[in-house]
Amino acid sequence: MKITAKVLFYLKLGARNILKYKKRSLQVGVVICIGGFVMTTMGGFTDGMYDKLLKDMFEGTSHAKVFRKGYYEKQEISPLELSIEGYRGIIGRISSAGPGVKISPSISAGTVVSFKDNSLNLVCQGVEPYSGKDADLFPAYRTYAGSVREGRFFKNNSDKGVLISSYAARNLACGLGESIILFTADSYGSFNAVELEVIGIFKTGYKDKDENVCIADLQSVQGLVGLENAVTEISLYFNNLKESESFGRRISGIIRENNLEYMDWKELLGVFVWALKIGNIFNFIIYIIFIIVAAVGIMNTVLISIMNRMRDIGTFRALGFTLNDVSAMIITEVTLLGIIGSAIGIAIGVGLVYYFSVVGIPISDEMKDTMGSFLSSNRIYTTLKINFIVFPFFVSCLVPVLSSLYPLSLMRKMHIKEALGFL
Amino acid sequence: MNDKYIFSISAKNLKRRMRRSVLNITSIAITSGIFLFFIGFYRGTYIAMMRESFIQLKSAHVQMHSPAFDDKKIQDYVAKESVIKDYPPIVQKILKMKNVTGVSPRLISAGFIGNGREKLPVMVTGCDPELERNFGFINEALKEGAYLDASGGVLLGRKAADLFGFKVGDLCYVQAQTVHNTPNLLILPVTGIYETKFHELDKNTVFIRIDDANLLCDTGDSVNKIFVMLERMNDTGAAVSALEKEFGDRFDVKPWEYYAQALLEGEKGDGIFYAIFLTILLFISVTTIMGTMYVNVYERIREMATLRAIGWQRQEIFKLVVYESLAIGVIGSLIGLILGGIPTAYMTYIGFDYSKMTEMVSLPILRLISRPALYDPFLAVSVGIVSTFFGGLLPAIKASKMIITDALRVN
Repeated sequence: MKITAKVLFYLKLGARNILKYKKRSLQVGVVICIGGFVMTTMGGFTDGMYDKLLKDMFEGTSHAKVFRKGYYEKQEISPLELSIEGYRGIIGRISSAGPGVKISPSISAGTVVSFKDNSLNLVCQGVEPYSGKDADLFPAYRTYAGSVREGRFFKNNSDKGVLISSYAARNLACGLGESIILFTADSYGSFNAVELEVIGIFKTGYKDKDENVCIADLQSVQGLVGLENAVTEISLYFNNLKESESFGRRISGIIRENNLEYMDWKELLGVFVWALKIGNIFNFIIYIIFIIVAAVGIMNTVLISIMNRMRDIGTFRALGFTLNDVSAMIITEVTLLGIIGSAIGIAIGVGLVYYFSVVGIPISDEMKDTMGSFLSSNRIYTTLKINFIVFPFFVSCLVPVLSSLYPLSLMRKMHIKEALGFL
Repeated sequence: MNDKYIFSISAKNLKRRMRRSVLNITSIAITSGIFLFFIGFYRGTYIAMMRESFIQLKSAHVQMHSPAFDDKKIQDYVAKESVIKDYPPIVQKILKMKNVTGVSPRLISAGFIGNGREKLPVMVTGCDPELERNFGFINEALKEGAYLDASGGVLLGRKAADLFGFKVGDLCYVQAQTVHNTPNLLILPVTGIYETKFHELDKNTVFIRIDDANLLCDTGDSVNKIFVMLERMNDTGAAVSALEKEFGDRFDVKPWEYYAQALLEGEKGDGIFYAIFLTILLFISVTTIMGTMYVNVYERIREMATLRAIGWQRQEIFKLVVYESLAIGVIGSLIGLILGGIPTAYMTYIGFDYSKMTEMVSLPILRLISRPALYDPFLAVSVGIVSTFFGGLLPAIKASKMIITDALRVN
């Protein structure tokens, strides 16, 4: 028989057997359907959520950063003596090594922000929000620029002023156009203050940004902390995230010469990446347990099915079908079941994931506050990716095929005479 | 025919289709093993570890504060309306109440610590060292130096100390806003360094004497929160009622659940996930056994008809089938105890260090552990047996209802 005709024959027989042994087919089909559904929804919910959180976080973190050596471990205490001097030259050299890379220098300093009788402790970020020849808005500041409720964001890198959050504005009882005082210890060990006009009021939705951060122009903050020709960090943003890992090696000479350190996104988001790994391991264990239990169930069903059809199989063998032909028939049958079951399960899973990618899963204010750095709204959204359809489909079709190998091996050991007389 | 005899026939029947029986037993073993593991894990990690750590390290069982005090408005923690004056008699009264093991009056304020050059935002917590000793965790978590004594000083967490390179005896600048909204500064020696593995405490909280805190914040002799620790978590409801009865007209009384809403929400969500997962596994196991038993009945229909013909009653045929599936359940569950028992034992005695997560979320999820109870194996075996019972029920009913003559004619 030609191959195409054979395949069609197997498909016909497979379909016929599925319909003939409805209960068994339903049992296997339901297990595969549940398997496909579980894998799609778990992938969509966990991986999808992590991807979304990661994407949001890059907008606040950048793909990579350059610090003076030793600064990163102590950045929460703003060690101004560990600043990057001559940063313009360094940025120029980094730019030459990676022409497409967006670069933005900044300073972070803990300050007391005062307006009349009110004061608030905030981390002040002195920024140059526009980078490159085209003066594009650096991606890390999109969150702030996009969340300005009153006033405006910086128009260019020479624009002076400060942006505060609506939380800060409320607590300081100050508004747009009013001047606030930023007070801190400078790099000379004395105290310094600067008065800046509030040019914008933002509300990002991220608790740590809204309650802890204000954004000022770089020059003003340099003057405040006494770092006229220095910054505390240089942020980098690539067209492709993966570039961040190799770019460090490309500029290793610059880094070494200037006593700097380069940290890519994995190092910057250390805990998050760790949590992601743990989450993936947990998901993997769940998948494995589920696959084992499903495989055992399917194996049992296929075994019963083969044993009950042993006389049929013996008849086929007697008519000239080889062992491979019979095996192919049975594998085609379970594959068809796998395709139908997984298609239904994945379709339901995709529907659910899509629904929550649009509507979101509501979470309480308390949960949002607990995850302050990662959530900007009271809803968690899932993401639908092609991986969450292809991988579960592939696995859901493969598991029944692999489950049938053992029963098939038993069938292959049986002689035609034994099979014909099997009771 | 007595049940023991029927059960022995059922058990022997398992050997007739050995492979099928082994697969069914494997399915039940995995399901009941996972059930055993998850109930211990849920009890250990969520109930024991997370809730108890939360109460011990963050909220205590009950908190009392002035009605004007708002937990969400950190900048107003030290305001004239938020503080509680004349707190010592209140504390003494609470200490005498039933089930109260400790009381800690505290003055908590947002501030900074530093070395004169750099500074770190922290919650400056003024406490009574003697009351705090019996109350909380600091004493046990102390790694270097000594506890707070009459001479004062500051207790820092390990992470905060490492940031500045502070050692015991070094001078630490403690800055906060006074009740008049002006900055104030105290320079105190580092008395001790503690480590709880809870990031929020180890990096962003410092403890000083309450009189130093009052000096720093210019609040006279006041506190803004009174923390109450009880013998057991379950005593919280009664304690809240008693405190509200005594002090409800002057203070807000809040149980730990008020502060732990995110924790309880996460616990509920994860609980639902585990329940769904286990239900799916059970469903697969039950349907597999049901399918197998149906086929067993079908294959042995003539045999069962013969048994009926020689005098077996319907309920004896019913029992024959049900006992066979129960035998699978018993054997599978016992194997499941071993499969589930090994990871449970590992998580009970070793566990998994999860303290790094506290850098991301402000909940004290320090370790993933199991806390099995004596009745857990009985529960796991019961689940295995009950699920196999239901798996064999419909086939048994079918077998018992067959008409003898029709069944004897089946090929």
